[in-house]
Amino acid sequence: MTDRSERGHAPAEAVIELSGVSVCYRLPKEKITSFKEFAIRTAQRRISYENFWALKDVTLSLQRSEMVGIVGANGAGKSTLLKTVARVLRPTQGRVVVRGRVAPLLELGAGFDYELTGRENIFLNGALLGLSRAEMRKRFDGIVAFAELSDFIDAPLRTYSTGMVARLGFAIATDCEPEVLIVDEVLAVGDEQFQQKCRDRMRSFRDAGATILLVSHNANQVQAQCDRAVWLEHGRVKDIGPAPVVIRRYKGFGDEAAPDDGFEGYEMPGDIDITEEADSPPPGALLLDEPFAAAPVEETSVPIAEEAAPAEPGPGASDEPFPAEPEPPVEEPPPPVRVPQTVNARDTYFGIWLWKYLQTLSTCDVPVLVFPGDSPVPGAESHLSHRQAAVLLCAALGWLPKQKDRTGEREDTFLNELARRGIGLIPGPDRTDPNEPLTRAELAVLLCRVNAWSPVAPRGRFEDVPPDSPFAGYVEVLAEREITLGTGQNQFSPDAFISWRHAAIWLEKTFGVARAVSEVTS
Amino acid sequence: MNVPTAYYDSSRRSFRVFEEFVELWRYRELLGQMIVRNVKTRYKRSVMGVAWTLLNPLLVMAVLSLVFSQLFLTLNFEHYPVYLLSGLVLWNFFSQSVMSSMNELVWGSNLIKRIYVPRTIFAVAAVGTALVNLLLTLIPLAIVMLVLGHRFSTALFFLPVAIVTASLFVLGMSLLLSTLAVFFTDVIDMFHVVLTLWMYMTPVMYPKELILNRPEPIAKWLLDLNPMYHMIEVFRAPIYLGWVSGYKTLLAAILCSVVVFVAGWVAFSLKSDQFAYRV
Repeated sequence: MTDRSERGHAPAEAVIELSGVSVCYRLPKEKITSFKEFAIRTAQRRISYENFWALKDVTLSLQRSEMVGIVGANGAGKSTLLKTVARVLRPTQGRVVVRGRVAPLLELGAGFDYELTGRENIFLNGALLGLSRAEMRKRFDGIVAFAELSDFIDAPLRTYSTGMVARLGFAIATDCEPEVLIVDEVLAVGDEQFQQKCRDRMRSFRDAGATILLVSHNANQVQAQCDRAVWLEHGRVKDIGPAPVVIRRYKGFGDEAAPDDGFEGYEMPGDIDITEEADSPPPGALLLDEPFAAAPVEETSVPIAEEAAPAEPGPGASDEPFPAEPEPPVEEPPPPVRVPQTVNARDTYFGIWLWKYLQTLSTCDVPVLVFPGDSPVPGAESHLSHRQAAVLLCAALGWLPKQKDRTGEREDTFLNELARRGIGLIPGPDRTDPNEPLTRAELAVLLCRVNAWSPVAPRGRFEDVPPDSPFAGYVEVLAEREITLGTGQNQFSPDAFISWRHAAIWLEKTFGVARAVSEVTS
Repeated sequence: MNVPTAYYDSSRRSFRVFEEFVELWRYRELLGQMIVRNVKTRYKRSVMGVAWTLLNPLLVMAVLSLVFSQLFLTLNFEHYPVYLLSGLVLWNFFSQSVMSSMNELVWGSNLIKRIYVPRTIFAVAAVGTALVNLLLTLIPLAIVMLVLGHRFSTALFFLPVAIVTASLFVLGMSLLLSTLAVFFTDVIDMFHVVLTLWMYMTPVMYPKELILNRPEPIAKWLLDLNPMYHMIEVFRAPIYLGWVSGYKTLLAAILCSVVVFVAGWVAFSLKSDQFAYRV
């Protein structure tokens, strides 16, 4: 386990890494811009400064092919964050590492000279981004075509409309193929058609391996376009995670009554009744729909029952009943659980994942991949394979494999999707069977990696997780976030295979989609 | 795209003063384009365009020659327009560079807040633009010399050395003053006034004997301590007098320019991280 996981879990090199970044503006309490005033006040020792921390202890890492949105109120530090990445501000504390060329999509006008023609501006902007004249000459036609400016390219920029200037800026910044693109609220310009073109280009750009950092006041835009979102508040990271999850919390911000109510406001296309879904399977999902559709109805009830009941010593024998840890009611008799005739997906944490799961499968038209080796239906205590884990994670994050990716085995598209995003290819090169079950430690690492949670120094809360093991830092993250409480008696059982039941609990706690288990069962 | 074309680590840095040189070299393409842009856009909307660069000093010279030749009738000045123009050209180079590099850093600061470029590029581009203008105005100067029948001496081959010396000094001053201007904007207005005073204290339009012949010793010290005096002397001698200026003047000029340049570059690059916080 140890040596194979070392390879599998080695973190991919992040394109952008911020660790403990703080930016402090030292503001004089009164603004002194005149030399005379400064001299007088210095002599009188009357200058008092106020430290304003525009960013405080921001830790963040972005992988290749990732699009991350930053949301937050005005003055939350969004633009300052971009500036530290764009190398404009050197952080007061902490460290910024950027591996690759950065192209900031400049706000309207910056970097352009309005007296020069469009043609001349293209070369000037290229040079600003660090490209030579010869390189720009090669890209010139493509830029002009994308910006739809071929008729005006030799007219001075001052004759352009705002939309034309924005188009030119976008075309140049994205044509230069930087590894990192920084977009600060500029896409609101231009007509709807061009905006769509921009979105398409950003997507293909990202798929080609670029990392995109987007700042927007428009939370919907972030949710629609980004993989992950960062919510900044007063210069600190308030929340970070998959875009839909963060945006939901961000929008609900201020609604103190139900700050963490996972379900309310989560955008689901209506109440999905899984039984009904099964009756009329979506056209793409023919192969597995039948056994699958039958599954949730029965299976969703099983884990519920088992959550409250003492867990049977299942295949992962070391797995103590995990949800029972916080309180000792493990020994209490299980409350009677009614098996509903139709299971509303919203009602069970397990059901919602299965529902999402289903949805992903049908959307992606790859229904076969799910349980080829295992039992046709996932039982709550059956093991989760690597392949299944990949599907669950991708489904949770909305990372749907693209059609064109499906070159190899159909089953491995989700695994490939994770690999494409630089999240540990499990199984690694030496583990060729994706149907092998996943251990608890492996899922812990995977969960952290998809959320880009960096490992922290283990505090030794689990006796069976040696602090020098490659997964210890990740397990600690999950423990800190109270996603896992271990298997009881300071044990984590890292090498035990994870059951569907526990995986569902972890996922639920990580992505916060479902209601608490107790609410469902009671 | 597997191999990143750039790598930035905010915590790792070589000695800033040298780092800035390296970065400037990496961005030489941009530097060239900025200079070309400045030259092009200066008279972009005027009918005659770049021709103004040539015409402007000629007209100024004509006016000043008319005025000063009346004033200094007693001095029996031979080919006064050549004397005047050779001094004026260098003085303009100086004042133009310093003023525009300050202005570009402070008012053209949009760029500095949005995208990374080596910060010295603004000052270097301003000096480069002024240098191009200087070289262009050598054309009308040559025309005037031809018209007046002034002798072209072989000492003119020394001119490049004089120009490089002056450029280093001017760049150093530009960097020093724009560093100051970022922190105190009114340095720009203040320097405008200082510049006028400075020009009248330097023998640009009048012969240096006007100062040297004064009885007070302080007049001579002021002249010796005035770096622009040495710069202009070194530049003017090959053109007007037809010989290379004496080694003392030459040494003073070179020393001045090297010291000012090093001081300006060091001050600027040490403070440049704070610019984005300030402007």
